[in-house]
Amino acid sequence: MTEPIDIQLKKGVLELCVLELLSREDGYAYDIASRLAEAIGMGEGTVYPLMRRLHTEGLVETYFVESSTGPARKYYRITRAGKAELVRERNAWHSFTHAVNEIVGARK
Amino acid sequence: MSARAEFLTTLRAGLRGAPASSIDEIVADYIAHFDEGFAANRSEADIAAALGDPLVLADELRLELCIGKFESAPSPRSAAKVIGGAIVVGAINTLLLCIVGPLLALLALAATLAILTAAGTGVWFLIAGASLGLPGGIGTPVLCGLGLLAAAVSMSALLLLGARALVGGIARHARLAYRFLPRVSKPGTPT
Repeated sequence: MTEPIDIQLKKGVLELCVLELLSREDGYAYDIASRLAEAIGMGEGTVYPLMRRLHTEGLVETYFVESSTGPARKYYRITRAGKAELVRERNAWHSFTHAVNEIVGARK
Repeated sequence: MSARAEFLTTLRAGLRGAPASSIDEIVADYIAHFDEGFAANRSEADIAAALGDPLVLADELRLELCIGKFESAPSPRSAAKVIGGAIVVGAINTLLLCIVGPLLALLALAATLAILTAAGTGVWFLIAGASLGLPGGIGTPVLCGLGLLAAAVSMSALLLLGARALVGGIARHARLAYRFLPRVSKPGTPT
């Protein structure tokens, strides 16, 4: 599989980004999708398989909120296991970016 | 057909074979997405383009369903579906599969033969043991027989555990390899 490097990198941090967003406040898929599309250039459809996986793994849970405008909206809430996973991934991200910056950042 | 109807029809077609309730749930997610986008004054064509290829998404979602099934009820059937799904999303290198696949099959066959031989010999010891006239009386063939049967049972258990761990590993690997569809800003123009 030969993919451009930026796609490979983004793929790796997608889960971290979703968990991070959900740790700040509960969210619905459309909102998460459009934020990530904006921020890291992700196709909006990508978020749905990911949310399904996070749900199967018990990292997020869902609930419905009645909406005044349309049908009930499905919200995602991060679980205790999800928070633990977020801490692991965040630590991995920080030590990884630090290590890479040591190498890449040194070159002027 | 509208862009929305086309996306949903293609998605449904791509999910064919999955449980109907799961398909409905998934499609409902995407319908909600179209509704939200429409409420935000986006055109259907724009929303559909930004979502990405429904067939690629369907492969991903179906694999996820297969993995869930395998984890809750491991069986040769659900294991085969996980492996099939992993191949579809490109998580398993086909060339690697051509080399490693037959080797693993051969290994499994050899292990099965060893198990059958051990079990067969064990049974033979138990049945014909008395007429063998081994030193130590009747106890020797009975113990030999029971020992071989126990060995066969434990080897089968190890084989099953190994197979399950292998499929579990493939599932984890396939999940990591899920495809990242890049953002498409306007219909038809990939960024």
